[in-house]
Amino acid sequence: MIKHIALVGKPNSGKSSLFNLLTGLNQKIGNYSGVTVEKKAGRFLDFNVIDLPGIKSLKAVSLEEQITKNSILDYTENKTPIVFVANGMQLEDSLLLFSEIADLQVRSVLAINFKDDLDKNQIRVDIDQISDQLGCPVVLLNSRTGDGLDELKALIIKESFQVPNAVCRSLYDDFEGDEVKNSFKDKIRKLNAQVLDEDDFYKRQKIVASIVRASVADLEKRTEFLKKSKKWDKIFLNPILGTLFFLGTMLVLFQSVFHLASYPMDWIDAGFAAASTWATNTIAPEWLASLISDGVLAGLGGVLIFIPQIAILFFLLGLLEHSGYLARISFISNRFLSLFGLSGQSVIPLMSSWACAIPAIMSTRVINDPRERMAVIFASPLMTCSARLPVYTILIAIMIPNKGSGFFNMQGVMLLGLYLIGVIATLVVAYIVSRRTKTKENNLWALELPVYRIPNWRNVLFNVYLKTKAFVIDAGKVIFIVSIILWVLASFSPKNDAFLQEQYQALKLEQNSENISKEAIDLEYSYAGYLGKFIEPAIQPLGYDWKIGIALISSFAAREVFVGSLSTIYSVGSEEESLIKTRMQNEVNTQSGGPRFNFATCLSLLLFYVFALQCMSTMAIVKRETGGWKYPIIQFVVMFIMAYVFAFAAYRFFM
Amino acid sequence: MIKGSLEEGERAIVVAIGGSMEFQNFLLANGISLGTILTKNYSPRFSKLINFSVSGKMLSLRTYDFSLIEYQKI
Repeated sequence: MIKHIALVGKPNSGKSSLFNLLTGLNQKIGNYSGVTVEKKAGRFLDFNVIDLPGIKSLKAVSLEEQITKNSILDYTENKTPIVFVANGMQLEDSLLLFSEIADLQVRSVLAINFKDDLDKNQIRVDIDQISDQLGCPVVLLNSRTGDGLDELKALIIKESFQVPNAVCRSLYDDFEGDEVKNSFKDKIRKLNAQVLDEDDFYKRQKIVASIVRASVADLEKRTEFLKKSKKWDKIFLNPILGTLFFLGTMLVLFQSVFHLASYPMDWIDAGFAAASTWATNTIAPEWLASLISDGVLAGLGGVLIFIPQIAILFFLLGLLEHSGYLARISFISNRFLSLFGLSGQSVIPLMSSWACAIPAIMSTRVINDPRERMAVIFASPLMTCSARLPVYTILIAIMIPNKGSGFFNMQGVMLLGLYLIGVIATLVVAYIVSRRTKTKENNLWALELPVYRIPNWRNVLFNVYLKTKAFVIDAGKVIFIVSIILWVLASFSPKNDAFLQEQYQALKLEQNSENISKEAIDLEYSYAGYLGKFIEPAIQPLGYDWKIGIALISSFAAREVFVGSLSTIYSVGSEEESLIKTRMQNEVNTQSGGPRFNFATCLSLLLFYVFALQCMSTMAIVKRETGGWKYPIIQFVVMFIMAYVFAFAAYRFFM
Repeated sequence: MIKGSLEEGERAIVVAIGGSMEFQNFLLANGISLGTILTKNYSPRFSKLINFSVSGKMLSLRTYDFSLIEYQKI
């Protein structure tokens, strides 16, 4: 039988590291359809481990904290035990929250984390003493290295969870005759940010302080612990040096995404081309070979090629996060963002949008001001997500030759430019939305600056693995289906063979050339061809033909499908099994005789994808977070108009 | 001295907290209450945030919010 345990703690207490250590690779990938993305779940032996979002107090303020509070209240009913993860360097703070949970009488084990910091600063914690005082098992732990993990695992396996000693529960005893009823749980359930309970807090604070005094020696040494971080903050929080460092970091990040990823990308591309050739030459019957080679392999190859770039992006963002630098970006950007009606607390959701808008929109729950939250939800899909990266990469590679010295080249600069356009558009839209949204202001914000740390490679790489896997699985499923549908549409025609042969001969005569491909004629008169031609008048002003039109339609639900679709379309229309980029570069504009993907068309397409909201999942999550279809529909229309106008202007200017 | 200007590195004890009940509750959740000792850290004026250490952590509040905390230097 599966048993449940939950990990509870304050933000930055190391819960997620412990969750990774306990569950290893047995984690569910967030599917974004329900609440599973907020509550991560994984398996440890027979236990289903739930990782709850960090909470500062049961008097929860943010939406994310409400989720944790409600879960803890549920655990009092269904007797689910918890592992409470406390930050050893901020023990009073953590124990204040733990004392509230103790008063709810939830079976617990206390794991005091950051044992390494305690040891390094010679702060000694008397485990037996603290365990006696709290009335539940206590372990010292280092969730970064796994030190102390065996003791914790043993406690979980033996199910040694105990109901801790109540701290202030008696304050809520109501006497009705001989009966004593306790109203603490009901009070907590009803509590919201408006309720202040000073008596409770001061008594709690006093008791917790006495427990810490009795169990922890040399706690004052932690002042030294913060000293080093304070020194670094003089550089990283400095308005000039800090801003320059931030911009430099971003430049290196985007150059790395382009430069370092280029080698493995070439290998993957060449691998798929070879597999495609092999499939064409060996598989029978011919239609099956074509389906595998031109449909499945071409479509999947078009997306899997971008794994190196996505992995590098997540790796570098992970380094920034785990080093503690990401919070400093919130600090230095606060003043700048205030010009756009936002604050530093919006930076992390906005930067998360570089990975994917869906978790970013969900993470806006930490923003207390509803007006600011709405502005970030509305604008964050304009930030360049990882799904846009495949589209950008292939188009930049075609429009800008790979020239430049060493690590820095114009392709990387162009990529940075596109990200900057996304940022500017996000800020402008956020400003407009924040000015127009009418909501009651609740503008409370406290930014915790974690100490600087050397990132834990295991956690960073583990996160890269999970995020990349999620991208491949989520995108791969859609692309696999779309590729097969597209192959069918591009391989079959409503016209008969005689008609196609007639057209082929007529074109050969007209062009006076024997080098006309029969496959190109087949594609033009296929179902996909008719579909593309149907929308061609609407997209022609942007510089696109019917083939690009097919890719645009197919990427309507998910933009990353665009490259896979182009790859499938050009595979069907081509006799050679060359690389995707080469196929696109060889495509000819039948009207001008020049390349189809010239500078103007590529730029127009890039700008279209910078602005267009082609992601059904994002729309679904916006609907859920805003409580209706109004916002996602407005968002889709506004972003489509922006995409069309900018793509049109770019094409007209550079054609 | 109550509610004076605190320089970088100086310590103070919180003697009163103004603002709404909601704000006071918010500070409690962040570990700031009467009697809390805080140390001001490097806080460039440009950022409009005040950075300080409290109970082993570094916290930043908006300048306006921080001005609602009354303290005495120690």
